[in-house]
Amino acid sequence: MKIDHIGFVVKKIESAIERFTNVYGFAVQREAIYDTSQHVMLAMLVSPNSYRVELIQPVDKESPSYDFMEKGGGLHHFCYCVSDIESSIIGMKRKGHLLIKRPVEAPLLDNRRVAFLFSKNDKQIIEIVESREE
Amino acid sequence: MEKEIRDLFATILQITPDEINDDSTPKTVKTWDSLNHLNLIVAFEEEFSIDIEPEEIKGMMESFKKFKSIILQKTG
Repeated sequence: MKIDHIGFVVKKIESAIERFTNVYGFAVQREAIYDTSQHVMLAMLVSPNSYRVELIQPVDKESPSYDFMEKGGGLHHFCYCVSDIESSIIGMKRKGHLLIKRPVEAPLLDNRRVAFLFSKNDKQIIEIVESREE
Repeated sequence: MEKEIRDLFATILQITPDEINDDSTPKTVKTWDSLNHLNLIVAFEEEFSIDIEPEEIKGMMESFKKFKSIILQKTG
């Protein structure tokens, strides 16, 4: 599967944007927005060689990544592109993943639908996003 | 059944069963964070051959009482 982006949890999104752009040379692809479904501020950055990093700032305890942030934050998930999100969920569940959030539109990703799973083997959160329709 | 639930819950969170009661929450049990909550869900699905829906996962983090009630409902 192709990686769409890597999710990175931060305490303050504005200072993180400044750090990633000034220190690591990322460019801002999408300015920070509020994602109501996850209670997070999100911004998308892109590196000079086209790696995308999604900065995630949980805004309250309703956010699923709030306690991850409280413990220091950092690398949170890989997001993979899939052509058919429903069949990918079925396939991943068969291959050792727990579905933790059903497909929902993601404003930061052009309202493409995303779902979250948990890898039972790696104990890691995985996001999948449907590919753009051609 | 309640003892089995409490024992497995404690094992996953690496605490002793007597450290858990119905009022236990992530605030009172240090190791009950969001990642370990997912480990709990996986362990209970496997141990009791049940399916826990995504919509139920978050609510089960409310308290041990809530967690237990959903497991009992599914195994009952």
